[in-house]
Amino acid sequence: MDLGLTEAQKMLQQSARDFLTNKYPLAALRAMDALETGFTDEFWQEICELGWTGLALPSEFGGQDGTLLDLASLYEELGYACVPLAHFMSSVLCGQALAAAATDDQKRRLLPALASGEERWTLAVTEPEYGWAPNDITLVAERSGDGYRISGAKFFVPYAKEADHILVAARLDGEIALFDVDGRAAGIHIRNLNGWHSENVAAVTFENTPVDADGKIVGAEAWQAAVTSFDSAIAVLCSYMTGGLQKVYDMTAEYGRTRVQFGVPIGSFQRVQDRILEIVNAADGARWTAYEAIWKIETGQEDAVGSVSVAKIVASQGYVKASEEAHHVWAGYGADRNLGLWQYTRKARTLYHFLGDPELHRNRLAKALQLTS
Amino acid sequence: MDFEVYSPEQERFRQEVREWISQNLPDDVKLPEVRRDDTVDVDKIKAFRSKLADKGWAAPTWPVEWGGGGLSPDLASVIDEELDAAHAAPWPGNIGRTLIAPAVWVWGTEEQKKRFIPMLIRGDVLPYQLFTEPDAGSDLASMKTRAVKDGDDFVITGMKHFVGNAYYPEWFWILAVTDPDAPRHRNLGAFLVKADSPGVVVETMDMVITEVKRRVYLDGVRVPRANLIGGETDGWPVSQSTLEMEHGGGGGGRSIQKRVDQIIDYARTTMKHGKPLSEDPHIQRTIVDLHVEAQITRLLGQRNAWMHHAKQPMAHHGSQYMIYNKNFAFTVAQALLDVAGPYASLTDPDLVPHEGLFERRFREALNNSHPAGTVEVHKLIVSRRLGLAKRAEKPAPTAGF
Repeated sequence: MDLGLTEAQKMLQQSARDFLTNKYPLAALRAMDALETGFTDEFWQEICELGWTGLALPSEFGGQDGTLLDLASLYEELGYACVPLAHFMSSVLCGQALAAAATDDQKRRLLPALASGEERWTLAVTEPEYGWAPNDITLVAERSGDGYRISGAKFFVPYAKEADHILVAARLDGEIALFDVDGRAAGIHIRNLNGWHSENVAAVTFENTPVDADGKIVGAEAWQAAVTSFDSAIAVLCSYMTGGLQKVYDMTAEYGRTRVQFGVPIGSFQRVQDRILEIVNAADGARWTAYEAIWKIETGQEDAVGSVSVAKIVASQGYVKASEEAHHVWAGYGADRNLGLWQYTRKARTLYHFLGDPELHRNRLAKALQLTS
Repeated sequence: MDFEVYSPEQERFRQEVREWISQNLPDDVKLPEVRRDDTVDVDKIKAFRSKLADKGWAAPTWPVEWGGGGLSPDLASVIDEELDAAHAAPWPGNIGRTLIAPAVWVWGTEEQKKRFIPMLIRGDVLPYQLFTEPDAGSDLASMKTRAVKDGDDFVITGMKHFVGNAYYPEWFWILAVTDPDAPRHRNLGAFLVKADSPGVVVETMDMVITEVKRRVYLDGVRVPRANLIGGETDGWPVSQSTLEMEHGGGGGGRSIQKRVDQIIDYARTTMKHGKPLSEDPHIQRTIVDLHVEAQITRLLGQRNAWMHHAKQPMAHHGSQYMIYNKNFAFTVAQALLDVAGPYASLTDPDLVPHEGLFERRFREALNNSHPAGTVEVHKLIVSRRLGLAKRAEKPAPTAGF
């Protein structure tokens, strides 16, 4: 047993921490947040130049052959900084799905531009009747000539307006398939949903939108491979949430040590300590359940699915709970737009459902534990 | 990063251990978990443990020259798992290795280390830890037991309770006030005392819990100075080296999943209205939530074991695990109430699974709330180590084996 990160992983984390602390402190992220796009071209370019968009993709297709744990250790830092997740949609969710389930021809054609960041991808799974379970996917694809046409609506699609490709989950002959839809194809209407969420989610409607003959990336035969790749992405997302939790802990503990009331730091009050303890527990619980899930995926353990669901339940519930505790400690200052705790709180609420809410993962876990068939 | 998977070489070692146990563990030294209220002839456990110690398997991770096995933590886990699987009666003097030796290692003279460490880690003697007193529970430092200097000896008088187990002690690891005029934390001495010294009386407490607890009276018990570990008023820092280990600093959590699996097994095999209990959505929810809590608890214990052996700097980690571990015992008890209903409280082997183990879980949880500090004490320690509380605190040094 060795539960340490490698020196290379620690260096990757340190360089990410240094870069993001200098270049993208919370105030800079607030400025990006005000933009229609949710992030700047410069931000995207810098991430590409750092090689983060191709980190864990095969070098054969322009990636760097990094491991899932390499990716997870990077995402802990991205979560710590609370940066927007456009690159996660592209290089982790869509990239891992393509690498796992696309044909070699498709990989050669699509992955290099994804890995370099030249082309951006997003994933469209959820619909107005929101959910991440297979039976939540109802949008229909029909054969049309050599290719396909899709019609219907996808809701809560992150960064859809900025995507060159939208990977759309649809029913073809009743079975779920994933289609590579050109983000500027005919019949697509994208409207960003207004509200208190962090990832520029959009309502995307398709009206007879055409898809090329080789635009079907994953059919029924490769569906399981795609699902496994989504599990990898969920585990990486849990590491991102762990990073956020760590930051909420760091900033709240520091506030407890320095904020003086009644002549003493408020952290010396046990009722305040109890709240900060909840935060450090949430961070450590999320960290180790995520690490174990990642290790199980990478080593092909049979019970990896259950561990991924454990990690997402712990991260989703922990992040929301911890940010709530933090707001009790910070009180009025926590709601001050210029102090930034709210950026983490909003992130926690946005990611609570993303890639499956705790209820979905409890159901998945019940199956994994063979409590039900 | 590598979680727990044994290499083929380690699995071969497991075979060796399993074979050795099957040849050397007598039937009357076996005690399955559900019968841990019973006792086994202590001389027979000792004879078995002595053979185990000669193999280096009683203290696998300690250096060979001190009576250990010089083995990796992974191989130590293999040995533990095999002893458990074979239902070997646990060694009631285990704290000699896990709690006392780490403090003697840090604070003892070379002569004391040579004298005490091999016997403590091998399990040649059965020690009790005598810290808690009627008015010194969570507030341990307010203890009243006195150790009065008399020539080359100390004379100890006082009373300790909630200590020990069902087996009669041979040694005591005892904290007592050596300088009543000195300030708190600078007024104690730590001693290793033979339990058959004149003036010692051991009584049994009447507890609802499964494990026997003792009350120990010390009336003018004479101890040579050579048995004082650390300086005359170093007792508090010495005890912190013991408590660092007792407070989860060495990790743990291996047996946690078993408690969940037994409930899952019960829910799958027990029928209600023609269907397994596990098909009921409320039962599923209870078990899934329990499983999630178990994973966090187990992983924090596993993390600590790794940090301890890899000599990573520790802070809040030990007590954080203790909080989870203590709470988890009550979560299990609650899950049993919900899953097994009133059957959870029965011990009639015809009616309940695992020979009444569930009923034992209730009492285990009650027992678990106090040893090695309450949840509230551990929250205090975590707060100190995170630099929140008025008094900041650093981890105490231990042997690190």
